[in-house]
Amino acid sequence: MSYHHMGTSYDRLFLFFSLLFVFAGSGKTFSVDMKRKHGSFLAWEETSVLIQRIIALQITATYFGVGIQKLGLPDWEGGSMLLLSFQDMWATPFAFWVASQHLPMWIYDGMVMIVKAFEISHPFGLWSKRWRLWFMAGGVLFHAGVSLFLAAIWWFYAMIAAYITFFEPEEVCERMRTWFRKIPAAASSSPA
Amino acid sequence: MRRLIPVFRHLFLLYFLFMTSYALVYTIMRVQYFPFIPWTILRYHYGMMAPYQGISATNADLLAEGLREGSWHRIDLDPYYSMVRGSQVMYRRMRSFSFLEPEVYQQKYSELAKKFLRLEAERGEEYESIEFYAGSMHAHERAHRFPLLRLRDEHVVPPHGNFL
Repeated sequence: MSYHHMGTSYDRLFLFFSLLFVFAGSGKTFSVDMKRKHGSFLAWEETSVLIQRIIALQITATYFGVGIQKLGLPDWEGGSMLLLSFQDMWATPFAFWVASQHLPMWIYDGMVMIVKAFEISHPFGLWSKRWRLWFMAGGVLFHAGVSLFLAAIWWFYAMIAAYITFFEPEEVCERMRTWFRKIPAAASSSPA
Repeated sequence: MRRLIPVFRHLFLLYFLFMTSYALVYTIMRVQYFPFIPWTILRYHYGMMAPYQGISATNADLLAEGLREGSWHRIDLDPYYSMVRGSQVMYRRMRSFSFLEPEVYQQKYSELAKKFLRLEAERGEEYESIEFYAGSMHAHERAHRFPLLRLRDEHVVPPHGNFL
């Protein structure tokens, strides 16, 4: 818990999410609390959807904000900044190797265009019930790609994990019940 | 008290929606339309939607050298930071102090230098003093170095621009 030391975007996000989790009713399923109250870790109680929605909105703002900002920043008009980032402190050995290959600049230009298109469209795709799974898969590919070049892999895990907040809680519960049949169908008010 | 919980929830939701929208507008327009809202708060929300925006062409890290028997020796700081290189560099920039008064920021580097002096002594490397530099993170590119802090005579040069 040293998120405050660096003040990077993901540290801020993690700190903010940690604050949200305090009030999210996180102990209302898969918890010692439920085991003590209802005799099963799988028991669950209803909790407000507010925190889930806030996380989803924040993820939307993060993708959209970073994408829309790249449209306006002169440094991100072409691919030169991407090439520099392949040699900076976050660069992986693979990124250093790619940078040393002296690839034509149009390749970096193209990569930046793809990144911009993805970051701006991604949050809308996640909110769409029809397209959500496709965009989730795209998100996994995107972050896996980023992790190949930038050694900040925890960022990848957190963003992917947060995609679940775009689903309706009932939908998640139903899906979980197909995997873990012992999860009760209704919220527990008596020992499960 | 229980009856107040929905009120707090609504207040927090309003705060979140307002600040996130404001941060998005700031992201696009770069204008602080509500100057009475402290920059620290706006910066936090803006920061949550600005990953990888602050890239610069500068590739600097904190370098340290220790004086022993009249000559300066490079001190490898990496073993003190058990994390990936990006995080190492970010930790060494001590950003949580960077927005405070310059004197406070420099004082923190002075404290860090004293700590390294002690830790190096425990490892058997007895230095008379330690000097910090901002320089290339690649050890072989040391042409451009900027002295930041010399512990022995308290000669402190303020951090330069984006370096630290």
